[in-house]
Amino acid sequence: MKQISKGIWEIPKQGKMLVPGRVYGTKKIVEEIEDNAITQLTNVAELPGIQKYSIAMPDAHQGYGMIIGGVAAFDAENGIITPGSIGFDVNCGIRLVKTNLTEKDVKGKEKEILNELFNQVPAGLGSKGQFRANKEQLQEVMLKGSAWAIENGFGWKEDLEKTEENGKMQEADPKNVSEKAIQRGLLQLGSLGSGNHFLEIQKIEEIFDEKTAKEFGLQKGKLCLMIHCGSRGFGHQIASDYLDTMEKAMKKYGIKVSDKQLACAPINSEEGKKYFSAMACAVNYAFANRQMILHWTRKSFEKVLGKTAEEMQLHLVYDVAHNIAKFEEHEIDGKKMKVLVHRKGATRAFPAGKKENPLSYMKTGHPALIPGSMGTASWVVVGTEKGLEETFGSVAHGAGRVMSRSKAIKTKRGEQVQKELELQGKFVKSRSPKTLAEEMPEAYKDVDEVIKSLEISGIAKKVARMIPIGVVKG
Amino acid sequence: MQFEYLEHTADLKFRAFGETKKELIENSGKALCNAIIDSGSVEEKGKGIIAVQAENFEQVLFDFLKEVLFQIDTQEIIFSEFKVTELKEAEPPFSEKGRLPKTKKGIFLKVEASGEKINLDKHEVKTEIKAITKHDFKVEKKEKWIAEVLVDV
Repeated sequence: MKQISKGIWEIPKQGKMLVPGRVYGTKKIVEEIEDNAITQLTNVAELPGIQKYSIAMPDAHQGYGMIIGGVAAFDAENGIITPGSIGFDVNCGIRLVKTNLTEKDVKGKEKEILNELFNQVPAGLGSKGQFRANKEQLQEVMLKGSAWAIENGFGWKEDLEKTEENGKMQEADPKNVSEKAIQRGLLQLGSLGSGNHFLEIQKIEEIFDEKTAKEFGLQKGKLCLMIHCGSRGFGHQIASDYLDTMEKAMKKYGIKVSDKQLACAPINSEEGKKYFSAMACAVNYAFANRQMILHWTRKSFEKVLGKTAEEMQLHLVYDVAHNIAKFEEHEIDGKKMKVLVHRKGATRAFPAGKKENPLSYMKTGHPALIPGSMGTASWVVVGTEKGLEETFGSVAHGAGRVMSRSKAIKTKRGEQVQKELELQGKFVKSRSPKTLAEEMPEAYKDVDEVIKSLEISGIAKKVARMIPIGVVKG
Repeated sequence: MQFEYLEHTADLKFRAFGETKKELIENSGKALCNAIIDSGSVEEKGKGIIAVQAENFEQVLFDFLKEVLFQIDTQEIIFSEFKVTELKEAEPPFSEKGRLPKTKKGIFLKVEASGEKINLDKHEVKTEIKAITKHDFKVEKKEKWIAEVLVDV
């Protein structure tokens, strides 16, 4: 691996690679990246139709088929689509909500708020959900995404504009979704899930770009809320189903890959089109899911603090996915080209001017939301022209794990992690102490080092840094 | 040993053992369920049937685990015991209310799974599992039958 410029490293094209591999990171980040992750990066570089580079973000670590923290774009005409480069949790993403509250307003009530959030927002398996969808409703969710939620009383109309794709991918086609996915989806609509998913109360600790922060409505000292979750069992089942389909399709189309988890099909094949339309259903499901959770979050704050959500100005700042594939136009070798950009553990970060930005953010570029691990900072950054050119307008999605879950559990007990965080003034509520141990801050890369990597390489600019004061884990 | 959990940075990996293929299937099911809810806290209050058919043993095991996960997620139940009641060459044509893949030939597996409804007052959900993956998926016969499975959490 050779260094190209500050924060950018390249793995030259070799063997069956069609394009070079690229890693974005400080020296420290690059030294820590696993060998398996590099192999996965070069495997993706072999896939038909890949453009420019197979890209690893600074939070990259090995995943299923493709690294988590990876970006790959394929020629929309002659390229492939692969579920392994999107992830099982389709449209896992982040939603950021601002408030006019300060720490003083919630002082002494942190635990009460967390308890209320914990009660209002179902965690998932075994939770007595607030809401049980029927099949007709699920059909609508697949087609309409966030709009379905808002039409049914879960949120405000203005939330739509502040959601990627306005909360709905048009290409969704429910007839390509299996009965099994529907069964799994019915029970879990409107739930947070487990693992690294969370709902957090954060304090804006520092602003780095006053002008952009103002456009985003972010102010130093104010509290904000962050929701991290995805498409639940519905999306997981769709990914599983189509991995089988793709395995068969590869034989049919004579595609060979170095890792069978990269099973894929031509974008324009029957299998490719069906998967894309089913994936879009999962994308819409996840948008609706986060929309419902936002609604319950507003209700929880109203109940505990005795003010309306409007009074507390609980406005959505933005909602953006980090596990998704989308058709976008990018400049490649001086020509505009339509590509299918796969982002797996990578966040879209389009700079000013790109037509996909919501109107409110046309002049700044949309906020790209990067959560830290439990108990550590989260960031708002904004994309740059350089990022648009080099990484298809993509940045990292988080801190990235460095320690296995089993090792984390052996290191500390969940109760101890909770105590340590409380001593720092960070309250945590979880359905399982084990999750707290698994998700302890030490199990992740330093998110600030990840952000530094984005900045020195020039693919993003820092806007705001937030620190948690309360966390609900699924 | 029935099963053990292995080191993996991001996901959850287990290795299950069995003197026979049947035992391997049973212990793989237990490893999966115990990762979600500690098996010690699960009583055998009811029984369910899990049946799959696939082209080879490896795929049968994979499909079985997927089906266990599907039943946990959709019926909110958790299992603590599995008993293989049938593992045999499939007899074509085979069908059972469309629940089985329409493979013309292959291996058919039927398992009796015991457990109970998930009740958060007594069960701690340690993690949810998103999917069974084929990443490093291995089934082999050494002194014993061994399966290695990576699940996405």
